[in-house]
This record gives sequence, structure tokens and C-alpha cells, in this order.
Amino acid sequence: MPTHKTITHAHAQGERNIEDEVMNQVQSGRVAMKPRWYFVSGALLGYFGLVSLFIVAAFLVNILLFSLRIHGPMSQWRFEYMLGRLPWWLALFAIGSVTGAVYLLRRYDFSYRKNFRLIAVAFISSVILAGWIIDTSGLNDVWSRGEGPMRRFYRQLDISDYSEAQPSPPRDGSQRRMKYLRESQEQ
Amino acid sequence: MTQVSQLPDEELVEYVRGVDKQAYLWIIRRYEAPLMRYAHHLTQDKDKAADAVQETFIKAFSNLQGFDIKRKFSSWIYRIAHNESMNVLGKEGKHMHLDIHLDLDSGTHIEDVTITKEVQSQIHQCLGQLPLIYREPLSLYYLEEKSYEEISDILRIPVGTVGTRINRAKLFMKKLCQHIKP
Repeated sequence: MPTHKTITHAHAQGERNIEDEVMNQVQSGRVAMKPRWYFVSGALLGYFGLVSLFIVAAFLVNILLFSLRIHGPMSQWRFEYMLGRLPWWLALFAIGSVTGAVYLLRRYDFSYRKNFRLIAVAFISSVILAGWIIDTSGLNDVWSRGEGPMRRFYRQLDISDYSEAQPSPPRDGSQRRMKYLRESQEQ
Repeated sequence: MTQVSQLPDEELVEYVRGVDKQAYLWIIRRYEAPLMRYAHHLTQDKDKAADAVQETFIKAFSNLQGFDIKRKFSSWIYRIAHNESMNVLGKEGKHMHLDIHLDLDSGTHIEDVTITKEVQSQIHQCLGQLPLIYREPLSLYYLEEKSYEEISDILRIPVGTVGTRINRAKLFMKKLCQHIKP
């Protein structure tokens, strides 16, 4: 069996010995194996990031459809009003996150082939589909009437129906904003 | 150690990860020559190829825990070698043009061409003149004897594109290598 020493004749002839150079770095600890948790946490972060992004984006699509449907007449005005109130920072954050994730995957997850175009198309399609399903199945109506965390969200949109006649709600701070909305309802 | 050296790639990786990192030596011994050959075909420079291969082994070791044992190790390490070769080449090397008129409707049945030693020898001599996008799949297919699926994994292109590029590369080769008599 050839040993590590006997194979190094190429080195003696002045040729570069990659085997020795790499193994020296491995043995000296200059090159260390990244721990498994590094890859596991990277994968988990990517997974949860994508799922969160999907939920946020699906609800944005759903709210868009919901708002257009409930406003009926004057939909143009309502649409513009709604656009003005949409949390655009969230949309920008989502786009930034996806761009960053793709960049990181391309840079660090170099080993496996991924069809990023297909992933992007599938993601956007499923977001639109999920938003549409929530809207047509009546889930948003249930949420807007019933109790639960989504109620507040949808009620804000309902209230916007007659907010035209009201003074503009304060835009700074959700507590102040909710107080204003409650007062408007009581009136 | 002899037994370790005879382990299949994926089991050897598991051994290096969990038992003895010194066994990485066997991975280097297995892949040094083929990766050098591949990197040399891409870079057309022995020193650059050696740089790329050394960096490949270092990067592979560093990321060994990220290797999915259910996948094929050779595709994984070739992919790293491919990336490192591209890094060494720099961007200017990726966009070499070939001023050859290519008649794609020549009626030649490329698939019918028998691949012989003669063809392999011609490939060696002409490969350096081919644009990189054709050189990559051609060298992987004929010289490294990789399947279309493996090439697709290594180059991150669809299997159909692999076939198209190889066919076009063969047409280029036909034009380029007419004067060569092996």
C-alpha cells in the first residue's frame, strides 16, 4: 500500500504537492470543519424566513382582494386610499429578504443545484393563490367578524369605509391609532 | 487504514466527519488527478488549475458537514472545483468568443458518431480552443465520463441544455479539429 510519504515524489521533482499542502493545513488546524449546527441553523433560518414571508405576502394579497371587494363603488378612491395605508416598508423588507436569501444561497450553498427561477415563480404563484383562496373561501369575512388576532387587522379596513368623513387618524404609534379607531366606532 | 481507503465516497466522508479527519487524505488521493484534469481543461494553465484544486479541497473540507450524504459526493466536489476554476479564471475568461461559422442544420447525425479513442484524443487537443460554456460539459462528458444528470448537477443547468451544449460543442470541434490527425 502506498504511504503518504512514498507518494510525494512529485514534490521532489519540483512539482506542487496539493495533498501535502492541504493535509498540513488540516492537521495544523488552519482549516477547520464548520460545525453541523452552522448548516442546520442556516437551513432552518432560510425555511422559517421563507414561510414567514409567504404568510405576510399571502395576507397582503388577500387584504388587497378583500378591500377591493368590500368597497364596491368608489373603488378607485378606496384603492388609492388603501395603497396609501399599506405598510410598504413590509413589502420592501420582504423583497430585500428574498434577495438577500438568494444571494446567500448562491454564495454559501454552492454545492447543490437550485432552480432559483422556478422557486421564485412557484413562490409568487402560491402567494397569489393563497391570497385568492383566503378571499374566496370567506375566511377573511370570518376573521373580520369573529374574534382573534386577525379581527383588529380587518376591522381597520372596514372602518376605512367611512373614515373619509372623519379627520385623518394619527399615523404614529399603533396604540394611539387603535384608540382613535375605537373612538370613531363609538361615535 | 486500507479498509478506510476502500470505502465508497459517501461513507468515507461520514468517516472523516465523525471519526478521523486524517482520512480526508484518501479523498484527496481519489480526486486530485481528475480534478486537476478538469480544472486544467477549464483554466488552460497548470498553475491556475493547481490553485483551483487546492482551494477546492480546502473548501470541501471546511464545508464537509454541509454535504448531504444522500447525494453524490463526486458531483459535489466537482461543483466546488468548477466554482474555484471560475474564480481563478476571472470574468474575462468566461466570455471568450469563437469566430467560427456554425451550420447547425448541416444534417450531420452527431448522436450517431461513435466515440473512440481517436475522438478523445482530438478533444484533448482542441478543447482549449472552445468557448468555456462548451468546454465545461464536453470535458465532463468525455474526459471525466460523467452522466448528463451529473453534469447538470455540477454546472447547474438543465439536462436538456447539457445535451444541446455537448452537441454544439461537437460541431465546433468538428470545425476546429479538421486538421488534427491523431
